Amino acid sequence: MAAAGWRPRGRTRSTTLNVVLRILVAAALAVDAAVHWQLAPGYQLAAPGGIGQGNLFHLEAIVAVLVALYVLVRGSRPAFTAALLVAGSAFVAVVLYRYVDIPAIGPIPSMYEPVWFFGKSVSAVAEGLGALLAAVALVTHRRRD
Amino acid sequence: MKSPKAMAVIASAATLIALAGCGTSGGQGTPPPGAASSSESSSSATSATQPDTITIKDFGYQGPISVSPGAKVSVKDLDAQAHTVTSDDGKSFNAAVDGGGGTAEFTAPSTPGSYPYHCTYHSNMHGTLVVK
Repeated sequence: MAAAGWRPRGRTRSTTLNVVLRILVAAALAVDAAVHWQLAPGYQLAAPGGIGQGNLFHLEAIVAVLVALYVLVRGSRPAFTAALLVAGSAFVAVVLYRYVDIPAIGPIPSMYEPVWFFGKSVSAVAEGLGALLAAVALVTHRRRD
Repeated sequence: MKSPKAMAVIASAATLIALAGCGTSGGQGTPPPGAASSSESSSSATSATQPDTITIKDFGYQGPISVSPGAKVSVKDLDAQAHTVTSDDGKSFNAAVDGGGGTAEFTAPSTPGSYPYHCTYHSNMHGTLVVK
């Protein structure tokens, strides 16, 4: 008969991994949010058409913070799925608009910017890592289930 | 009559002198008469006919490195997004220009010097205007 509070070693390891992944994914989303929030005012003035690039950046920052909190608090499959979607879509968008001159699409303004600079690079790396780690968390969740 | 050995020495000396002459001509690169003035006139003709224009393309400034004091400087934006040419000191000059081929103009400072500038919308964009 197992003593109270005893946990199988594998279970403990996966719980620790889950906590680490929650923190890392949340941190990546926080970096993404901070950079977008900081850049938003200037980009709104530069590209006010449609919904406005700055407003899109504010939206991205708010969603990223909410999902980061969701991941931190719950660490569930839906939380990591949301993180994968938010970080992954942001990563795809920043890389796409860096290399492809996409015109305005409906309310989304043209956001082509064929340069990398420090803040943008940091954000892109954080988004890529965030998406990757969220995917790892989903895979480990599936194995545990 | 000279010996074959003496002839060889003379031939070697002549060859060395000839090579040294080529080296002098090619190494120092003295341009032929008229070349310098032609280059200068071409350069001054270019600056005389080309207006002082800063072109913004792909989130970068391409423009005059130097202008005269008080010169009118045009700004042309070839990006889709709007940009500005704003002096870092915040008071020397400022021009906001719309994207998609928009143009603007500002007056260069009357005091000679180096004036760094940036885009207030995109903090990574920087340039320098030299007034002389």
